[in-house]
Amino acid sequence: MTEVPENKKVNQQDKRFCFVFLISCLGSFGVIFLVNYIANPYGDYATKYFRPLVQTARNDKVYLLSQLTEVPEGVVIGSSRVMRMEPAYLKSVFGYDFFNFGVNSAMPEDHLAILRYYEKCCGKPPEMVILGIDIYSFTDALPMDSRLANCPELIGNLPELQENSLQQWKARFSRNRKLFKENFKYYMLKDSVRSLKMEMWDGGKNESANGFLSNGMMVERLTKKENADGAFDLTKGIEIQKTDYVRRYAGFDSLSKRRCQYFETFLKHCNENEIKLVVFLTPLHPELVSDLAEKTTFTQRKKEVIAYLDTQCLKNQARFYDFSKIESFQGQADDFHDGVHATVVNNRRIINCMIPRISDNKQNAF
Amino acid sequence: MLFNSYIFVLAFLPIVLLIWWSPVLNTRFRLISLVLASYTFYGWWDARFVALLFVSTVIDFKCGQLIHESVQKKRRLFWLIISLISNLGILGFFKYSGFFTRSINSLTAFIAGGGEIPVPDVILPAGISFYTFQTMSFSIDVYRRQARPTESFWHFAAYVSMFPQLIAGPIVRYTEIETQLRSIPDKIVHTQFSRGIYFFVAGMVQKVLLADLIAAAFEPLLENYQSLAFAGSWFCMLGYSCQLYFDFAGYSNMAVGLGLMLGFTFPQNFNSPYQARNISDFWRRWHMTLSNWLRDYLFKPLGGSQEGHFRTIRNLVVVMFLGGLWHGANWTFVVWGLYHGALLAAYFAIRSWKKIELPSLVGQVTTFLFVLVGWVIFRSSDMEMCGNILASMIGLHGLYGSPEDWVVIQHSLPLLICLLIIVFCLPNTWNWNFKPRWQTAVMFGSLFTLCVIRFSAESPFLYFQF
Repeated sequence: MTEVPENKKVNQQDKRFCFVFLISCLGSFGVIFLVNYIANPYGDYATKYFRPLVQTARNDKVYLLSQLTEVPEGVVIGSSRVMRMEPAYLKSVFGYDFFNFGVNSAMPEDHLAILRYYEKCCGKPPEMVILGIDIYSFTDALPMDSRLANCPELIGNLPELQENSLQQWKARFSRNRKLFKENFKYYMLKDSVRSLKMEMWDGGKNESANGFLSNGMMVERLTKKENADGAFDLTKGIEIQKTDYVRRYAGFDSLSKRRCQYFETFLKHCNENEIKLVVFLTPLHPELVSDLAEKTTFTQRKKEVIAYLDTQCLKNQARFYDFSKIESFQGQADDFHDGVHATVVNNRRIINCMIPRISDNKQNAF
Repeated sequence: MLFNSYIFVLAFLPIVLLIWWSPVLNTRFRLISLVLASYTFYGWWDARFVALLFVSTVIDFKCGQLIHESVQKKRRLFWLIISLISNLGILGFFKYSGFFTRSINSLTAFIAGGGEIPVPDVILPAGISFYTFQTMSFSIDVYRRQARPTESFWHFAAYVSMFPQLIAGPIVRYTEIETQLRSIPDKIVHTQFSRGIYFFVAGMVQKVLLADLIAAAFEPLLENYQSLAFAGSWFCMLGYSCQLYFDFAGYSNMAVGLGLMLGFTFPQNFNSPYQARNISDFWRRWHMTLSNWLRDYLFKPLGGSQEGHFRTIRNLVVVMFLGGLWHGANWTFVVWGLYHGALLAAYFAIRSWKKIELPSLVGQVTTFLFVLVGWVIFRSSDMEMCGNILASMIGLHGLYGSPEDWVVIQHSLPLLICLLIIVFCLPNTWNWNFKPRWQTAVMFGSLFTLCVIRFSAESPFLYFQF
């Protein structure tokens, strides 16, 4: 038997140490990547074994709609401004079961993605759609919302984005690179573990940020109670929004062709599938309106948007209402949570205002 | 570029190691590649200062050769002075010009009520204090005929700019690395490489998992130092002592580890300094390469401890004053240096008078408390902050402080206790009995991964500012 010299043995041990170290590093990186990808705590990836830990309204509503046993016939689509449109009240007016699919900062691409998701999830087009539009949603200055990009169920319904333009390829590459990098972050691993723990041991509770009912309606804030307590400060809410909305209108010099295309596709789709469509401009608090009129291109753009919506809705047999001013629906300035979010009461007034005009037509306004 | 950054661990280091150990390159090209890599590493932060590093290298390379070639002592001295002036000139301009101008302005304002000299707006290049000290040691060693200058510029440039120790040490002397540079192994030495991994990962754990964690706990409290009470101030300063140690020792260990991966052995920079039994022992254990540098190139030339008590005390104070100033262009560092100078002088005086042997634990605790007071001065941005924290530490600002502070303290106390146990009781990285077993490799691989995924926020090493 030949003896291995001591120094050679030591060298072999060290060599093995280096090799095992390298394999361990790669292995642990791989495990972390897999855990984060499977647990998917923020809903960034296509894996849906567990509910995302931190919900956005988009993820939340996608999940809520998929959980409904009875398919709703109508759907409310729009931004956070329509989140307080009550499906129950809408049913009493229009006679359909509604699902509220209002999501934060919705733009025309969101509207189209939501409509397509609805059809995919429910297996058929809705009977009726109520679409609340914000004037600034036709700007080109704001990019596609990252919350839409991070919601695979919705973003996957926009094949328009799959076009092979260099810019889109770059955007996809940049997003995937970011997601890949994020996958190796400590906070991601921590949240994946939390996500798994919540799903497996805490009965699947998630940390929903918004709080929606099963029909998508936003859980109402206790404004009256806050008012009684003196805790609610509408002026403060409006002031905060002034800065935000000046930013949203910055660079809004003309209607975005890209977003108009999404909107027209939406209208065309509804028309082709005989979906009863009501489009309305969402209201703003008068104080915010005057501030925007003074500081931004709001007035000019509003005129253009109204003219555009009028033309397009007429062309595609959709109803259009301009409720951007509270007088147009007998709204109250006090019935706002802040500068842009009308309370349930103001939303009911909006729905009420649709009734007389609807009743002009024979069948549910259409 | 930081050691604790993705770009370094996932791209720079693997590429450098692959090139360095590439069998197709000869020694000369490997040295060139090391210099280029080091300049890239340095220039990543600010490319402009690469030129400064290059100029400093060229001057000292040339001066070293001229000192060596000159036969006459005067000529040798002349070239040495040129080297020292250029190094100290660079250091003085970039590090101290603003400080001296501001100090003169304050002085003239105090005496004559005015006379503003414009304060130069100079950016401090990273690691300047470290590499100027390295190059100065080279020139002095050549002058003393303790080192032989190299004929190859790349050889010397690799010594000055070697990226593992370029920014924050250890301060490597030319004599310590000359032989290693002359006999670079052709093939990877696995024994060295595995030890390199051990040191690198251990250093990274010290930095990312210990120093950064404790810093995150106490820094928010320290931002409001005016409202700190007794508990808060002690928590902050004990936390800072641990952060400073793990941060700097972590960096040094990473540097040593990287050196070993490249086949170089760097000197030890920390030897459990908080286990020191007296202040003199502390300085033999803390930032050892700087202490040794100051001893050999400053303290000894001033006369050391051979010329009577008074001169020894004077030399200690002068050396520590300059050592303090080396750390930063701020009066707090000067005061910190003088404070340590005074402690060393007092210790020397007591030892000369009577040989007192304190029990080991008493000596350790007493030394640590003295060092801790020093860290208060060191950490403070000005003397007002220092006075405030010291007042809080002796209880002049209440016992518990605000309930919010107390919650933070209670939350992070277990971590602080663990760190204190490590620094007081456990052996340091150099004293651990490292065995290259596969279990150790798995553990180190996992720790390394854990550190890497914690690179979420940029967290530079504390000693980068010096």
